[in-house]
Amino acid sequence: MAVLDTAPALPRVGSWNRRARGGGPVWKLYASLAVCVLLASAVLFPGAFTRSSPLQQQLGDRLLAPGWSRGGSTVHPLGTDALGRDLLARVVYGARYTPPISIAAVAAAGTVGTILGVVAGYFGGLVDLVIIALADFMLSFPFILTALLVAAVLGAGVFNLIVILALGSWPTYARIARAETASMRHREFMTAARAMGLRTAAMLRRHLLPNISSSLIVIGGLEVARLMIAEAFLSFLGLGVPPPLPSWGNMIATGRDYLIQQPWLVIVPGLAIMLSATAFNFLGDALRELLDPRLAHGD
Amino acid sequence: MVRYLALRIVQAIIVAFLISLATFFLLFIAGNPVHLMVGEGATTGQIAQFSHQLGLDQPILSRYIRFVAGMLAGNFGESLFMRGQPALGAVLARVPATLELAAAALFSTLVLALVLGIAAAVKRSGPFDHAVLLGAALAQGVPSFWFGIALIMLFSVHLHWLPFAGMGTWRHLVMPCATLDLYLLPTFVRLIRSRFVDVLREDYIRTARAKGLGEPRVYVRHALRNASAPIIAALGLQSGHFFGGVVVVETIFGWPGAASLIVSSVVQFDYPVVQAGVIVVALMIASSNLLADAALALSDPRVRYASPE
Amino acid sequence: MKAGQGEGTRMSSRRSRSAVAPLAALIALLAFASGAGGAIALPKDATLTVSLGTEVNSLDPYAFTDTRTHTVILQLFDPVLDHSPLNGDPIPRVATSVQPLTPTVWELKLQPNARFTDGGPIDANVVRYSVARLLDPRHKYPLTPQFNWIKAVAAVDPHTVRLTTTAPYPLVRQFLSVLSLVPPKYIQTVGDDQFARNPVGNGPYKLSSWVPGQQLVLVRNDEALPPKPKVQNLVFLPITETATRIAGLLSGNIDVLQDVPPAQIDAINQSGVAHVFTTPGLRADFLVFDAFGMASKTPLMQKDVRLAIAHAINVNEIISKLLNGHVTRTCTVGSPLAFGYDSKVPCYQYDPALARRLLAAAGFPQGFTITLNMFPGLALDAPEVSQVIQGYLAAVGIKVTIKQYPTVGQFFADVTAHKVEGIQLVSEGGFGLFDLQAAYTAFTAQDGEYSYIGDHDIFGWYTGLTQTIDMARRQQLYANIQRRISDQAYWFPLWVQQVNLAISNRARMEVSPDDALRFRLATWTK
Repeated sequence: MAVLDTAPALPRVGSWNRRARGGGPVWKLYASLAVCVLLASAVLFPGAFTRSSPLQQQLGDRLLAPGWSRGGSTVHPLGTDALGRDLLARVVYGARYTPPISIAAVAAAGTVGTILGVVAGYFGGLVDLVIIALADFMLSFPFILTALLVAAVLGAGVFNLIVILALGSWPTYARIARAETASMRHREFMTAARAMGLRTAAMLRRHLLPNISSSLIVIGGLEVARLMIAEAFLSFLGLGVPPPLPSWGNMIATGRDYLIQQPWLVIVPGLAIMLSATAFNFLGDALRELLDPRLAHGD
Repeated sequence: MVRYLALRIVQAIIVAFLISLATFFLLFIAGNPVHLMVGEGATTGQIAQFSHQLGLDQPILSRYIRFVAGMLAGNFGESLFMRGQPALGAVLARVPATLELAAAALFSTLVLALVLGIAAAVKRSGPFDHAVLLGAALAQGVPSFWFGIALIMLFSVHLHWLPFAGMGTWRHLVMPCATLDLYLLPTFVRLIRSRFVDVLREDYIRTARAKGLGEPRVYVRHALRNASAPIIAALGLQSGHFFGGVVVVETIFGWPGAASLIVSSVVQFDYPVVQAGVIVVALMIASSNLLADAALALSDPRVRYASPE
Repeated sequence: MKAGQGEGTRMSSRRSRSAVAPLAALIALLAFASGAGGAIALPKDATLTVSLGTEVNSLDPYAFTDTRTHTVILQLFDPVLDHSPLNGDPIPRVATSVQPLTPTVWELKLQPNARFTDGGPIDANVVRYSVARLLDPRHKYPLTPQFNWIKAVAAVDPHTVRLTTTAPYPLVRQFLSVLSLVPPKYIQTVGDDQFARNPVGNGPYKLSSWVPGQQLVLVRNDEALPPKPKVQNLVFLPITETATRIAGLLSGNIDVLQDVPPAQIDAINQSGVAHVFTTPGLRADFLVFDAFGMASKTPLMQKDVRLAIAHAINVNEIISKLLNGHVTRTCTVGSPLAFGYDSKVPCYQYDPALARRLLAAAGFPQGFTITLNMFPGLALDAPEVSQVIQGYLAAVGIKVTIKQYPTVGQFFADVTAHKVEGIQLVSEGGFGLFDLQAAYTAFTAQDGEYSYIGDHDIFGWYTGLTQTIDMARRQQLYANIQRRISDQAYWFPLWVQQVNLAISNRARMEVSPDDALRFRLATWTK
């Protein structure tokens, strides 16, 4: 038994209908998909969640407490912000900004970073040195400076926000992809693939990539969460989503001034980030288990 | 091995140099400190006069050449705002505080993450595993500054157990360290857990089990070695993201470290201090990456000989 | 399983374990090697702990660049003249009298008994030395440009100084209240750098110890000019985070705090630990319109458009609802406490219907798009105020895009370079001098650093009021400028900020409009 199981043949990418067999409970996948559906419906049908407008200022109703606490009301179930705007509405409409921006940045950074990391780890030598130097450069460059630079040259705005976030995070994927690629380079299945005469690009894509994807997917999930907070940091600098548009990040940034007396201004968008982050993490988990080729053998 | 390390050191120096170049031109594009220094009620003539005194109106190329010449001699000039203090000296004086905070946080995070991550991986899919994953995801979403202030309000204002800010005794280190831990733990815990889950399935683990080695030895010897590659890579990696977390913690707790000095110098455009600080940070990050890569090469011989087939 | 692989794995596992262990040990070692020592223990009932909100960078009195550092300087160095905190009237300090002999020559008579803490005398020679040092361009002091109205200083006798100005200069006494005197012998002995770290002064307090970034300790100087301080020790903590400073106040670790965000005032007053005192200050917030198209061609170049905007903003509602009455409305830019303020300039009435008519008459019945530029922290609650203004202007058809600058340096640089298009939300404090000249220098002079005014009449009036010491004439010229600005709506005045001071219930100190902390007058409540 041991002999048969030791040297796997070329592993295949697991397929979707094996999920019932692979390890890990399926409920995680369903729960995270449910949250994603919730987010998507908040983006597409915000009116279903709230009748208030996120932009309507009511100076007479500033800083109202959430509905359940003393002094709160059901008109504004989560209270109001410094300009009297309904917090629930702002959180719901904020789903149009924060999650898509983070996802886009992770997708961009992940793609670029993984490609560069795989190339570095596989080819080694000068290519490796150059790519690592670039990654080190990006990592060592204080993010605040990167942000100011891009803003000074390109200006503010949602697209540039995505660029800034992606610029600051691609080295993460590159280094992990590189480490894993370097580890896997000499594994039996890679040797076998080369012996079979596969071209490098195809081999990397079909055989190496699935085997290193688990760490990358996990990191991707965490990065989405981290970038949502990074968006708040950029909002402190005025580089986030421009006012009066609501993003969870700029709500946290402005809520900071009212932290002690009106903590819900930070807690509510923070909870939104936490919920979405958890969902993306679990989704990453579930995806990993679906795609992990070793699970395809069922054990 | 030595050749590999030597190459990486050269590379680190090149990176630091490139960073100083980029920072110099970036600062030039982004702004200048003169307005902040001269005070209100100035005329453009006075601004120009003061700019001239500081040498800021010279052509950019000649300023850069003078800067590089100075830098090679270890002289970054004097801070524009901290009179009489050499820029490099000002940064280096505050590095130990940042290192203390960073080391404490890294150590405690590593210990906690190893314990939680390995336990979760071993008891995979059990309630403990779910709790750890949920906790990590939730912790990721908590903004550091909110957590830090909440800690201050609770432990300092209400309970009077801990000092509210500043540096000094071990008590001053507790809350900043805890805040930084919260920032780092989710990534570490999940990565360690994920890697251990993968590794525990590996064939050689089953072989080791089949060979009759007891469970703890299986995990420690074989699993740790093979899980260490991306974990060590992540350790080196964290030094980059670290900076952001350290800045927040230093600012909130008034921790007199180099990170908050550099950021406040960026905002004020205190050029010499920013230049000095960026180089120091870059070299620190590069050396921690180097250490991580060296550990990686040591632990996994397959990585060491990086050459195309 | 290949034999070679097994051997390899066993050997490298040993090596990798030995790599991880020393790494962990190194980290642990660094973690527990503690940093600098703890705080000096001072008797709490003789010590006030102050949170400045910024770091003190240098104790050289000519090198400060922000008003909070100036607070510390003020305790260490008595200026030549003092001024009343209520209205800026000159009060004798080191100089007992300052009188103009001619429009360009002033005579200062000095106290006979003033001394530095090292015993050195303060005489006319010291004044001459100090001014020369301040004006020396080699030092690159930020204060130097502010004093370039001084042409010459001469010591007539040990206690009489004659000051010659380049042209008649109206603010001689005001600037003398910012001029600290420095000890020539001490500086010549230890050098400028050492003086900046360990100064000798003549103020109510002297330096006891300073750990940069951690704390600065001052103790009472018993040889200072009266009144003698009641508080013996001052400790300054450089914590920048507002929430942390307030937490420090509430936990009893901090006794004195400035710049309390208005939203937190009630909480502090109800805490039972400290109280917040407020008074109208010298800082005025206002909007600047690019009326002369200096940055770009804009609808703001038409007077009716500017007037429309002025009538579309409900300032009273902003003050009562957004700022909870923590500011005082002004109808012209400046503080009512400052010399030159013209209280007869009328306010713009809130009238959106009139605004719409004006816009239509100007050719913009459908409105237009314009940018509102600001930096948070300049004007009070700038981000919120910007958004509220955005709302008011939207109601009359003007679409506002808010441009928030990430750093104040960039904002000022763009303003000076005339790159800021549209509307700016700005603030000016008049250098704390109870006279509008500093503010109008920056914002109306032809070469003012922030000036977007192109009106030659205003240039002429401004030049006139800066080159005469006839106060009545200056008041008239100030009035001319303000009325022209109001008629043409070059600016839109908002309000004057309050200064606030949070102080522990253990002590008492007056809050003053110039936002300076006069610790020599602080007392204990028990």
